[in-house]
Amino acid sequence: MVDQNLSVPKYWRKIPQYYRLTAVKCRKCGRVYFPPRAVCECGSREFDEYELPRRGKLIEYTVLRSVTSDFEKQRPLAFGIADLGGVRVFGQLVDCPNPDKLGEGAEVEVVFRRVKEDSDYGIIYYGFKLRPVKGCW
Amino acid sequence: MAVGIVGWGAYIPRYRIKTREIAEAWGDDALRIRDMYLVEEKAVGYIDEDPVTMAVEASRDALTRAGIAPSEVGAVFAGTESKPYAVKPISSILIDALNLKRQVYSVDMEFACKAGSDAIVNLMGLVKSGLIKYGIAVGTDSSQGEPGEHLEYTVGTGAVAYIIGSTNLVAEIKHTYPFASDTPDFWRRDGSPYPVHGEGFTGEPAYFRHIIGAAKGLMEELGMKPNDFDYAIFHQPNARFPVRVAQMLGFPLEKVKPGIVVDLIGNTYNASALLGLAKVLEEAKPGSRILVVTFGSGAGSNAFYIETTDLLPSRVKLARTVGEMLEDKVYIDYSLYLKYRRIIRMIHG
Amino acid sequence: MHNSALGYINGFAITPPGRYYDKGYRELFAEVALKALEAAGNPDIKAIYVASALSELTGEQLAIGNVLRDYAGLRNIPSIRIENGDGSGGFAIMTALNHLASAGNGCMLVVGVDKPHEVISLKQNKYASYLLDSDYEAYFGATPVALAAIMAKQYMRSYEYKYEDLATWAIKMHERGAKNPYAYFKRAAKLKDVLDSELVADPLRLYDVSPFVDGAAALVLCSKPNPNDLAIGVINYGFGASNSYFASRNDYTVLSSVVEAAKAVGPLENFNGVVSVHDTYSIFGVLALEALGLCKRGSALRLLNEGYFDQGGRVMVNLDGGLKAVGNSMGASGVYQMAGVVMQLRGDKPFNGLNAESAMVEDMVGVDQESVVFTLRVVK
Ligand SMILES: [Zn+2]
Repeated sequence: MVDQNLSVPKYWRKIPQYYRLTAVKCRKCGRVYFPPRAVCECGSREFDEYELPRRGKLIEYTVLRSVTSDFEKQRPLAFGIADLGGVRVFGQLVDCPNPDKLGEGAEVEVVFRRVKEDSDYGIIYYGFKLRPVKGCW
Repeated sequence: MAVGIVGWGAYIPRYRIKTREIAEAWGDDALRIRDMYLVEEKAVGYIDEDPVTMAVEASRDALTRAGIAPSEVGAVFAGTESKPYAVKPISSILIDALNLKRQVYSVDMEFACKAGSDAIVNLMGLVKSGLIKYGIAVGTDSSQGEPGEHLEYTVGTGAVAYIIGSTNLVAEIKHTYPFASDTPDFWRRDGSPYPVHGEGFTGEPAYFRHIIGAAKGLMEELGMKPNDFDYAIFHQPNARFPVRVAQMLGFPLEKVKPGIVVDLIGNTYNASALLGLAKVLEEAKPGSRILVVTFGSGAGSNAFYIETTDLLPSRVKLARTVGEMLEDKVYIDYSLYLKYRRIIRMIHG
Repeated sequence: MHNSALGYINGFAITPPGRYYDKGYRELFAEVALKALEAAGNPDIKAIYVASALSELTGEQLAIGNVLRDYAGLRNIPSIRIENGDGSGGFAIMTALNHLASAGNGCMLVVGVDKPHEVISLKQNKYASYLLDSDYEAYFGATPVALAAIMAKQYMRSYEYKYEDLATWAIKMHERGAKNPYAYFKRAAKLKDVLDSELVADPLRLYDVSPFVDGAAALVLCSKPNPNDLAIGVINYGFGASNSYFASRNDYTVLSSVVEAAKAVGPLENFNGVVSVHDTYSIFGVLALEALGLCKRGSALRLLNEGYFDQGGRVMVNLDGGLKAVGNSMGASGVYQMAGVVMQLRGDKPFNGLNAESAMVEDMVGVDQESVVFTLRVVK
């Protein structure tokens, strides 16, 4: 059998977060957490699922050139932190060849992309990434 | 019961390569290539884009335009000929990416470039029968063109999605007409990385015979003539074929041009004619009559008679337009093209 | 005054960090464990604490304690492996001190050992990414240096520093490493070297990143000092933690876990002596100085450039060259730091003539996950 290097269940159970940015919202105080948590700052353990908005502002970014084995052929990788409706999310920044041209607080949209794959035979891992709406070239 | 389009969404990647750039790499005469296909440049998906990711993007915009809740969708059909998995559906990924309910009919369809339009026809049947309220039909492809072979000049990347239903229509699909036969003009064997085609054989016996057969059949059944249509949209393997088939059918150039996108993004296979339709919907007035004829090698066509409604104009700006995406572009050179399309042969992916 | 310390460092040993293709986990372990025990006068040991971040990842060995013990001929002593990423060393020391407190007397052996160079650099990066949130950060290809870069950018922007200001960290660490026989980098670096080095994650360059090294370091912690040697006691420790998901921290110019740990250990503004900070990346060294309360927020880089943290000052930082020059031995790094300040307090070569009586060690897990801060003193 083909060796599987990455875990399928580990990916599968996070599909709501990877595909749709499903956060949790505290029923008591309304705080929103992404990634989800079991206990709120306020002590409550009751949450509702809450999808983060798919548009927001870029807070900061960097371009990583020394990548891990899973991403060798995708380098360099740009990463950004975006504010999506008041919740800060970390993700890859794509379709932006010159991120240094982005202005402060550049508008980003959440897109659905491939993240990595388990060799030529294993599963393909998908997930959200951040894409500047305009201005990086 | 009137059935038709409730919402639509398109997706074109941001990167482009000029056909001239490809011609220079292979020592071909760039002007001759341009003259053959009338394709200036084509859309190239980034390294992390595939028919699944583009299908998600187009479908999200389609849902936004339709203004319906994902839970109201009863079926999702994905037409493609470039599935990232030989076995494992795109449609099931769409269920979770779009947050559809679990009680959804879902399947991937393959008939070369025609399957996306078959998804529409099938959903119309499900809506008419009352089995579902809304369905999502997707045409999505990032097909393969062997480096150094002529397909490389035209094979583009893109996706389009339509929400089919019977209420709140932006366009009614008033009639459909199929035309198909066993005509091996273009194929890709199982496990083979690149399609093979019969050059000139893809023309008369394949593209033209089937499109004309479907278009004429549809007009005859309806008693309509080219004059009765405001727009005519045909499958676009290059920019020459749709113009020529329009001439053969008797449509003037100005009725075909608005639906041509291949010159700027290449042949997007299952998205091709349906992306042209998306672009036309962005400009069409209420009451516009549109002929759409798709084509898939192997070979077959579906012809559609579509009429827009008063609801159309207000939905255009609710999501990314084809017009905007055609403008939103970053040019890359041939080496980046090879990298992004993962054409460089590697031991490990 | 034996009650004034949580424990005494009665013996220590370190292996010069490097790429030990000819030695495995057991060989490196035995070398330092036996030397440290000998230095402490071969006391009875109640437990062996093994700090290792990578034993199963690069050594393909779980339950490593018995393999190490058996090879080193240490019999009938329970072994406990401590894994808390590149902070494993500090957390092993903390745990051993707690064990000492509950036992009331006796000695513990703490050994940090890791071998990143069992695997190629792409794999090292992958294992380093395990220091982040595996599901939400590493999944997307992030590694600690990417987050450190974001902190560096925000810090430099907030306090109007240029990259040249940050480069001083690498230059000073290389300068100190050049004098330290136990450093991995023993070559001084000029500003041009730093500026010309490759970008790893902008603005951080190769010189801002501590190199992965194979290494092992050992300490013998006892409830009573060795009567025949200088008594160096661990006076106190403090622990702190930050949000695990980096983006959710909102302020990217502070090491919150270090701030918390420093608070727990007591007021440090008036501290004078030697300090060892966990500078996996230059920016972490700078931010640690602020988090420890040794200077105001935003001022560390200015003070560093003014020579405030150099030898001869009130607060002397990373006199051994830090992780930048000594190397990043992952789980062993905190033990190296501790051994380093012990050498400095003892005045061992090349640290003779310092006359420092107090020391502070800051060990941090990953990118501001958890931190532990120790204070040490020469007990007279
Ligand atoms: Zn709450």
